[in-house]
Amino acid sequence: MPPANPQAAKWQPPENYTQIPSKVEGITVFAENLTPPEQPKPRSFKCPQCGATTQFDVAAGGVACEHCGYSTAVESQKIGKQAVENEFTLEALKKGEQGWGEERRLLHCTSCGAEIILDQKAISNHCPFCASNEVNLADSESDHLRPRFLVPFKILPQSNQTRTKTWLGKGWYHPDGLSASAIIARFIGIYLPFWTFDANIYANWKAEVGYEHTVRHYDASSKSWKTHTQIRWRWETGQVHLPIDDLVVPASAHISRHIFNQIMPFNLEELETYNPGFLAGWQAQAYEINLPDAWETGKAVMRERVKESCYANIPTSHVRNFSMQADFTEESWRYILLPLYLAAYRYENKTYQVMINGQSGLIAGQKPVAWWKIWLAIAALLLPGVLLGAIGVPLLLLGGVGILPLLVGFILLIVGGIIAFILYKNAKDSEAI
Amino acid sequence: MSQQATPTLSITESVEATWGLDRIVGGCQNCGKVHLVSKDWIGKICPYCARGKIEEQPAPVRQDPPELLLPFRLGQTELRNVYAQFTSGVWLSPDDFNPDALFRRTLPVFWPMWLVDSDIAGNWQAEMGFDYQVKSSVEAYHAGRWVTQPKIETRIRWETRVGTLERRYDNVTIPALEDHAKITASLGVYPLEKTKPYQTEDAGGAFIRLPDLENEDLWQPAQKGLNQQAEKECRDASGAQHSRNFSIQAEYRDQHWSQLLLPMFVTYYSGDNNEIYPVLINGQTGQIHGIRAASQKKGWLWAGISAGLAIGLFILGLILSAIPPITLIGMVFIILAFLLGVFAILPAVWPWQWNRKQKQISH
Repeated sequence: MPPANPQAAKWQPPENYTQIPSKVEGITVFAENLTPPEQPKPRSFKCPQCGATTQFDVAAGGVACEHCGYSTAVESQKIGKQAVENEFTLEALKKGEQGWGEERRLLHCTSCGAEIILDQKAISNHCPFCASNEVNLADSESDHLRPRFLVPFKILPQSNQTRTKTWLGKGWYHPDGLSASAIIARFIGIYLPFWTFDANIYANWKAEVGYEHTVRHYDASSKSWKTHTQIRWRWETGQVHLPIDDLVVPASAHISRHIFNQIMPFNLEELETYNPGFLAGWQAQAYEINLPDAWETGKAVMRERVKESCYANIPTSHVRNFSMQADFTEESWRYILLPLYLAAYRYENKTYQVMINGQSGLIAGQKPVAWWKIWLAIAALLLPGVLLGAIGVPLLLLGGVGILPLLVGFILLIVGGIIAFILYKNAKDSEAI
Repeated sequence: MSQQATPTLSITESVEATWGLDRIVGGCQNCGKVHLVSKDWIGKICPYCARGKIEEQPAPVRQDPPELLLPFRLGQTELRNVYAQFTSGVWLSPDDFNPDALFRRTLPVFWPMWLVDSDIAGNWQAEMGFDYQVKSSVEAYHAGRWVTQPKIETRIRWETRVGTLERRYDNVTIPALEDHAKITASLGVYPLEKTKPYQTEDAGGAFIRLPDLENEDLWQPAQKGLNQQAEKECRDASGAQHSRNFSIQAEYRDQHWSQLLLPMFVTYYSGDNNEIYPVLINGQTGQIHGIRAASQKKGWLWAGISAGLAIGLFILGLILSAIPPITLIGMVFIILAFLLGVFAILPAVWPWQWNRKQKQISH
């Protein structure tokens, strides 16, 4: 119904306000334009000077042309930890926003199943996860959340080979000449998706806490007073408040958590607002682990941290019948992209993964182990204890002198066993993915 | 911008022609309240204050009869029950403070509110609040296992909305009495959805209080009432659950004013020195308001009797204690006299304390 009074007829809504449906006849309603910011249209990066393809240049910190040297800064804002965090609304948990800023397609690796977003023109690539060349293009899913923030690459791609060679050369229990003979495939700079989670956790714990007391008693056998330690238990309760800021959880199902944890952390103070220019010439992956699943992973980590905080709140190490309740409040999340260099190298017909933090340069990955070195070391560690035991037993049988070598042998065996176990575990971890 | 058209009142000698009632305007010089009363009330004690007399007086009366009326719901039995409950539990109450006396003096009264109808056309702005739900959880650890208890919290998202409005609002209630706030505070909320069109027979036998807020006093509350109605509708139009900082620039046109009559009973009782304690009852809900006074005179009387008895017992005790065979009995009498003397303070102090507390509650 058009307004009959002149005042209403003259009235104009403020700029950036659009009319929305009204539920009452005779009343019009205008709302601030809350439609999501227009998604950047597919963009091809061409040099305005020579027409060649441009890409994000880490050294220049902008989009640059390799041919004519043209360079332009990427328009974005360093927003750091002020980057908007989202609540866990039922709506957000159910649906995501749509779209990516740049014209990209999903690359599906038929070898390992990884999905990588590539330039539309790309028809094949090295899969950074398995070094496979056999890849097929598949249509991108449409329900992906759009990342709004990312940490740009800081580490130059040219430094990766040297960095990797140096890293491969470290460690005595790896094959000799690993650094020289490993065939390192091309490093792929890729923006991988991550969820960051915040929460304020208020926990109440209850446990039986044991306090040590020294008690004197009369030892009838030795006819003397002696002391011994007794633990007295009593129920105690306590409260813990643990704020958790930016817990990073991978949103890629194919990334090795074991390797990724070794190249952490990322400095999220360097977060920038998303601009397709950062992705020009680089790969990027959309999330594979959705928000609710990632949040469950994040919550499990947070739960354990708050449990540790509760234990730290207890003044002694004697605790039993521990129980606690953690109330999660002010939970929030972000969807971000972090820069990584991924590569796979081959050594003696086996493939090993390497990962470099694209911001800090920290490197980690799988390294083959020369197991003969490990077994030799373990034997060397256990041998002194065994030998002393072997000497001590007959001496003990002969006249009681053997007690000393037996005792020393036993201690050496225990210490050697512990070191051997740690060595073995480290070796296994070195090959683990 | 606003156009005002507050009710037109005119001096009238009889409302019979328009309201269908055989009433005249009667006012009390003591309390100042003006009613439409039947002629036989002239010269009688004002049922409100029980001090002044009802006197015939000219007063502006709206010629149009009231539009709506909320009838009395409470019958005699219910009213007696209300009084019985009201008068119970007061120690040393005045003789006049009893259900029968209150019932005997009960007078049904209709008290007025203005009803305003108006067109509103203009533009508005407000912050509208939309409820949304957030999923959170409480994680419990017991016997080595974690158990998740999900919880859903409702939060409000505030967004600015603007727009135009062209609506007509009918029967927006506006206070018509200076003591409106006091009456509503005393009698609580009336179920206005039970109002019905005014009919002469519904008002029969009751005093009808006349409005004392007129003309320029009315427009501001009327505008406020209309704007509140507009705010509610703008909230509904926006699909919001909450609103705040509502503002409107509008023209108010084609106003029509009428009256709504609400039922109450008035009664009173007198205290020690013939001071009057008025009592009001909501004619629909039975909510009662008034001071439940205690009698200081009765308090002094009981204190005097107790003190007299204590003195008598004390003297007797002294005499008996001087006679060796019954000295012990004398001593017991003296102790009893002391206890009774202490007890005598209670009826003297209690009415004062009680009445003080009652006045605080009443105000």
